[in-house]
Amino acid sequence: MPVDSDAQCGVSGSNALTPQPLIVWQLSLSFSHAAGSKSSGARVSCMINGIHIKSADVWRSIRSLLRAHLIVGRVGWVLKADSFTVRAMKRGGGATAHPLTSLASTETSPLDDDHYCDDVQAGSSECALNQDCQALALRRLSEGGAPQSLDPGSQIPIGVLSRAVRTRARSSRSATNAAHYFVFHYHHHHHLCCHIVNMSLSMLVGGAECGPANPLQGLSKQFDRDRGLQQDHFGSARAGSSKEVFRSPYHTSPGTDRDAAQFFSSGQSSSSAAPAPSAYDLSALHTSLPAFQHVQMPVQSPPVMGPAPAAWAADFMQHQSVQGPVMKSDNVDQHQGGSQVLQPMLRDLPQVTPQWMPSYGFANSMTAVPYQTYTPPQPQQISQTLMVQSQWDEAFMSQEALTNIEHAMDAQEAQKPRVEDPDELARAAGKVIDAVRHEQNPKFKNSQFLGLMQQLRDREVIVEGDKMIPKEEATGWAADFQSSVDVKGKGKAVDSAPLAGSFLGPSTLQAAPSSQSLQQDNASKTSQLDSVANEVDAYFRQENEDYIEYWHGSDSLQQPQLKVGSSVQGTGQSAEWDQLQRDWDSFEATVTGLKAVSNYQFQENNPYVLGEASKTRHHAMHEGLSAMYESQSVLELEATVQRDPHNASAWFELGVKQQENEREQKAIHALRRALELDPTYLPAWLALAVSHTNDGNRVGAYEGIREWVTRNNQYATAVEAYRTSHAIDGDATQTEKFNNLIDCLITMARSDASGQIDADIQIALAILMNTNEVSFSAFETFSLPLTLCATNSQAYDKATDCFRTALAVRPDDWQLYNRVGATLANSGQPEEALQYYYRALELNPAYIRARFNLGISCINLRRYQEASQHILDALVLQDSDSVTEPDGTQHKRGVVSSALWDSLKTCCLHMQRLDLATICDRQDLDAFRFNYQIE
Amino acid sequence: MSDVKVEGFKTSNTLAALAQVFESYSEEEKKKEIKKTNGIFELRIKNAEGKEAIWTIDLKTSGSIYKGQAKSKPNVTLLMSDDTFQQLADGKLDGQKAFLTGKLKTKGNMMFATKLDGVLKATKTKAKL
Repeated sequence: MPVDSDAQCGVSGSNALTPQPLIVWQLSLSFSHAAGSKSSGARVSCMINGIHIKSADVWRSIRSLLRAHLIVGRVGWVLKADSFTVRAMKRGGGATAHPLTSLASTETSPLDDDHYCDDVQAGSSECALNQDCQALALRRLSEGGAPQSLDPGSQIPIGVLSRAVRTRARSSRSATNAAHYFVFHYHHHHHLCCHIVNMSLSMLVGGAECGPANPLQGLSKQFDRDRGLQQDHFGSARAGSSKEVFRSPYHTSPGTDRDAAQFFSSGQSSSSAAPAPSAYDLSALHTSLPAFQHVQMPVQSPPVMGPAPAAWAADFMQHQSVQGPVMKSDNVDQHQGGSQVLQPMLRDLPQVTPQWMPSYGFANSMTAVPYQTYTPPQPQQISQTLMVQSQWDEAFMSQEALTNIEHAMDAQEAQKPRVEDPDELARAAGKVIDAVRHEQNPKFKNSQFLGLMQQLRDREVIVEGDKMIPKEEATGWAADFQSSVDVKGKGKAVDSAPLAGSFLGPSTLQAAPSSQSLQQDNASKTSQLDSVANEVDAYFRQENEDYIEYWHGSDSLQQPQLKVGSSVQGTGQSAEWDQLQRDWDSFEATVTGLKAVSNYQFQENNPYVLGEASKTRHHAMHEGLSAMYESQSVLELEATVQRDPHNASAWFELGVKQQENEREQKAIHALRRALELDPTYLPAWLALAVSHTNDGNRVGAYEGIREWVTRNNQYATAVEAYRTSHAIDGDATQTEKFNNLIDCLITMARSDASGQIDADIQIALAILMNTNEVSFSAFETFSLPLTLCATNSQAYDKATDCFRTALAVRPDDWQLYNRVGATLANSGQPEEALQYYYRALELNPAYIRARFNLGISCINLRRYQEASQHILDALVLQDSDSVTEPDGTQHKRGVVSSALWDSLKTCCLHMQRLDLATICDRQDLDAFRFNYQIE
Repeated sequence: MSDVKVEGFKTSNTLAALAQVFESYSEEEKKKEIKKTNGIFELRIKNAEGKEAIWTIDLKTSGSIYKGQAKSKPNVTLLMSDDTFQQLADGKLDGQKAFLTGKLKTKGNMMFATKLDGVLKATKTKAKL
């Protein structure tokens, strides 16, 4: 077959390269030829950013350029305003040669997509061409288009078919090779390419206005420069590695993919067949928890003494186990230990910093008083302790936490010689009064509390006899309590038990002398103390008020006999105090001032926290079976955090787990906490950025990534260099900042000379790309069509690429699979997303987020039955993380996401199941499951 | 809501679903949506057989979707094919792209047309990373 040499036609027909209409801009002439047919179509198409330009005005400018420059050999071009399809008749026959002999033009209507698509899909060849015109064409080739393939290599590559490549193509006589050549390069440099393409476009248009002044030549220069950069950057190692890593991890996938599908389909069928034992019902896990806590403190009906004390009691209970032997009453030996522990505590007390003393005084007196009231005459033999205990259980059911403490103390009392220190008590009472001197409220001044304090101070009330509460224990307890609340940080401020926690807001005042570690902590932080002392003092004052209020609350319930005619007073006051409390709750004290509370709310009555045995079990798990990590429930992680609240990585793990469990707000809180504790903890910054992205908080995501970049020591030099050369103005728009950061990340990726792909950088880039969606306002895109360089879908494509690149390095990261899937789904390719979700779930079947995303994709694909099943599974999984009270009520707080219910409701509406939809409104999981199976 | 449906149009299914979502909104949510969009879209959809059907998405006063021409003057009238609307609704195509490629034509306030994307997306939950 004669080939017309004037028309430099690279042909890539035989290859599996099927172009899809997307990405960058291209001027290309493509040939499609039906086998056996004598005619084949050749078309010039212009793509800008993957958009086939059909609009007349755009096309006109292109056309004028074409007229000026594109005269290819003997092929004449006839272009009509709205036409861009050129039919060419082949001179000869056959499918491999394309001499162009004649040309006929046809017009296609703008709406005639089908025709176009057919052409492209069948279109085995698409080639940029033409040596007569000044330089180049951009071209894009995409591989396969097989949506079911897991091969990430099937992503859409962009090739820059420049002069060099053309040469290469000519010499190899294979445009396919040339295309591949650039395909590899593309992965790392699409950003760069796109930017330059944008520039070029405006140049192109400018050129059109000024007549045939050869703007394409300028374009060519741009691309030449681009290519230079690329070649500098792409060492052979990079190009090679990208090729390999993209393909290798997936060769085994088709099989496993099928397995996954089977696995999930069987999971579905089993759960639809039998409602009761869901495939993912994890509640069994909880029942298998050690029943330790039931020995000493059966979790009885919720305390009835009002929310504040109840919360406080729960707090305290949680910390009993943490505080170790001091509070254990069922173990005699421990009490011995406990009393030993208490001695040093007592000694430490006078050394407590002055700022801390007032609060200490309160804590001290607070515990002392209930004791007086409550401790009934009681023989001091241990043998009778149990009996007394049972009496108490009846009498003070609602006060279980406190009574437990009392048991503990009484038992201890029986065991050890009493250390009486009336001075201590009196001093403490004096401090209390000092601390509240400024209080002007006459009601308060006349309150029993103050009266009692005065009495104590003046030693009018002498603690004696059986009612004599060992003050050293009370103080020890108070100190313990102080420290335990403190250790929990601000987490409990919202629970109306701000006590020491919020008191010690800045966490510089962890003066509680009850443990060695805290003492050290304290010592190291005392230096900071002075600077914040004044500020903190103010908080102390308010805190004291809160404390008194709290004490009053419990007072009124615990000591009715003392409440002589003061009930009216009490209600008036409590309204006032409630207001104070509310104000207080919405802020927390920090070194720099007040800020809104962003606290992580733990679930209450977490069996993992209360159980001493679970602690050891947990540790065993950690040491021995790190692979078990994925099976750790949120409750376990929460317990870990509560045990060791200063461990940033524990908070981080909790945050990530909450992300996986589709609870974004909790994740953000946990991650923020982790970063408060350790701002250099890089993974937490990334995770936080992810959470913000999901929340649509673009600025938050940006800040997260920026912090990550700033604190990343590995790339410090590269970042420094970049920032000095590309400084951002203070008044730069958000979009500018974004692009700056993206470029910075690219610089970082390039600076790594080792040839290794840093998955984190890729993830960071991808997160930014995901948030980029909103950055192009409608105004920009509509008024300046040619600058719409990075439309949404393109940003998403880039994000997908980045995630996939990261996947190549971490092939077993289920989160990454989900992220690829989510990005695909959000860019309108839910079908492609499914396989990634399946893979993520295969790696971690309890990955609620992926399951939910899978459901969403199914909704978008109108597979509602399937979708509802997936979302229901996700709900069941989430629900299994909740704590069920013995009386059957569940703490729903934050356990189940309403987003899941909303989506489920949508499904039900689509399935014409209004009955189910109403159940969704009630968020009644059991009812839903029951009714769901009936169908 | 059944009155939204027109035989032979894929669009009608999507719009029916959308109408359902609107109906399930509480007053408060509806107000929020209306405030966000504050306008009326008239959709003139042509299907493969060349038939045309008209729907109106009113997010100015009533917050509803109905068949037929807009009762009050629409902010924008959008003309497109059934397939195009389907692609728009699926998120496979964005409005700007459709407009540039000539698949979508507008009469009236073109800027307002960009809000249709948001309306169609409002019914969709985004996948989370």
